Amino acid sequence: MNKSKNTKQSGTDKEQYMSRTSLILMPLLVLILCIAIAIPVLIRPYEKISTFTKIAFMDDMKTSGSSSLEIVNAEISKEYDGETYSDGEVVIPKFGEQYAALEIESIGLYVPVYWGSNAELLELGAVQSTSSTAAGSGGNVVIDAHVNTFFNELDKAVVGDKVTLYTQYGRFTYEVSELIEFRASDKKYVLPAKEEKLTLYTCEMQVFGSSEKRIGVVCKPVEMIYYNQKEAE
Amino acid sequence: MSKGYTISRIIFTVLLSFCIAGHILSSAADSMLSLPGIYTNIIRDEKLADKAYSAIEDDFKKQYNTTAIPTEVYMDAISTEWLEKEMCKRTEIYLDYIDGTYTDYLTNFTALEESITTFFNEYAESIDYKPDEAFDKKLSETIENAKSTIEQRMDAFYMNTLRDNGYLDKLRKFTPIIGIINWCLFGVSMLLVVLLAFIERNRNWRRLYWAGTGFFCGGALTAIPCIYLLFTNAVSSFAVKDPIIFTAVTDLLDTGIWRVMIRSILYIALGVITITLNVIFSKKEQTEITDKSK
Repeated sequence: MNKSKNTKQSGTDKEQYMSRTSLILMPLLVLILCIAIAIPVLIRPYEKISTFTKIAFMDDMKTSGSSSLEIVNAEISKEYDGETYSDGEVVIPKFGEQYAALEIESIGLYVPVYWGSNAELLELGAVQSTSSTAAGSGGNVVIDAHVNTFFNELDKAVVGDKVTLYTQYGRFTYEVSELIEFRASDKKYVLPAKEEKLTLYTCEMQVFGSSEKRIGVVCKPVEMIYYNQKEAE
Repeated sequence: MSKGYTISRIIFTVLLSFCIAGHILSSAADSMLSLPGIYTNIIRDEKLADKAYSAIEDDFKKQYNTTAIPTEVYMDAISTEWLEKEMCKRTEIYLDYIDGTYTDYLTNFTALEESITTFFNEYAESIDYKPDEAFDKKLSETIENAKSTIEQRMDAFYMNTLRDNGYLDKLRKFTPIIGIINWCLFGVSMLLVVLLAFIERNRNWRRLYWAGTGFFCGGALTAIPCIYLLFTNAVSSFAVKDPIIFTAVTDLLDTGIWRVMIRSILYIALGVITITLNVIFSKKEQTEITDKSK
């Protein structure tokens, strides 16, 4: 009787104590339980902030510490001695590519022209807005530059001055036909046009700081020479 | 050990785990918002003032093309030491703003104002230009533009932008609550520890086993996301690549992650020690009881 009581007592004590394995595994099981509870609870808040975090932590920008603009400087020859054509193919350059050299001999102006317009390119030369047409393709070719650097002498150009645009696909000669002045907000001179013309402009030189006024010239085409022949359609 | 008792122990342990996790996060957040030293150390250690100086110089060089004002006019009036002092001061002011004790602060730009005014006057004199209304307007515009350019670069932690967009005000409402939440969670955690110990009052070496499990799980709950963030180096994919902001923000985020991580490790260690002691000594206790019963 006594023996059976002792055996019963011993069995209860054993039950009251978890095995060593259970003691070790229990924290892991509780952790899994906690994670299982946390995941559904946190899904909604995560979805709310995920749009923000995806923008703030863009993986594809991880290594690009600098500007993504690729500036390409090109050798543009004034003395092309190959075959030329009166009509040809216009090669549209990539944004940031130097596609031409602009010359106004009468005022001693010779500057590189980059395709596309932003502050970085304006540091390097004159720029042509991608919303205008490339020289030789029939339309308004709009080029601008800073007055303190590349277009410093533009205000000295007069009607009748010869303006040449040397590109990699041709040489385009224009003649100043009009001297212009307009406000920065006035888009009249920079809008697309049906006929080929070249519009050059810069800020008005001011005693102090930048001006809202723009000055420039509009040129009519005189001679269009292409270095490549237009492919038959 | 009845099933009911085991379930109640597990439920209390799960509650304790979440309270510990919440306490870790809220105490880390509280320390990040109340210790300006974290921010000023980043400014000093990462030499953010040097980076800001170079960035300001670049900005004014770019502006030269449209303003024709030489960079030296601005740069001679500021120094890296001055920038560092101002950056630290501004950060402290913004943290005070979050803390609700904001005092208005204006950076002293006297040297810059004098330098620009002198340049304008000398230039006007050199071209025989009589200062008029347009001159005064342009001068004040140039000074304001210079101030704004410099202030923008000094705002390493984006605080001004965050304030302008109303985020600092939102944070301001939460700051006092974070501290209260932190202490409440700590208090509740301690109550649960006492409760779990009370449930196991008859077992000397089992009293803190469930509390240890709670510490371990709470620490692990916050450590797992931190380990993920550290191993994937997610912080370095921060999209704003401006050198000053990128360094300041990523360093701050890393500091935050490490603050959570250290607290988590401490709780995990505390949990592991408690569980280990229980595993070792409760077995002895069990053997002793079994021997006595024999």
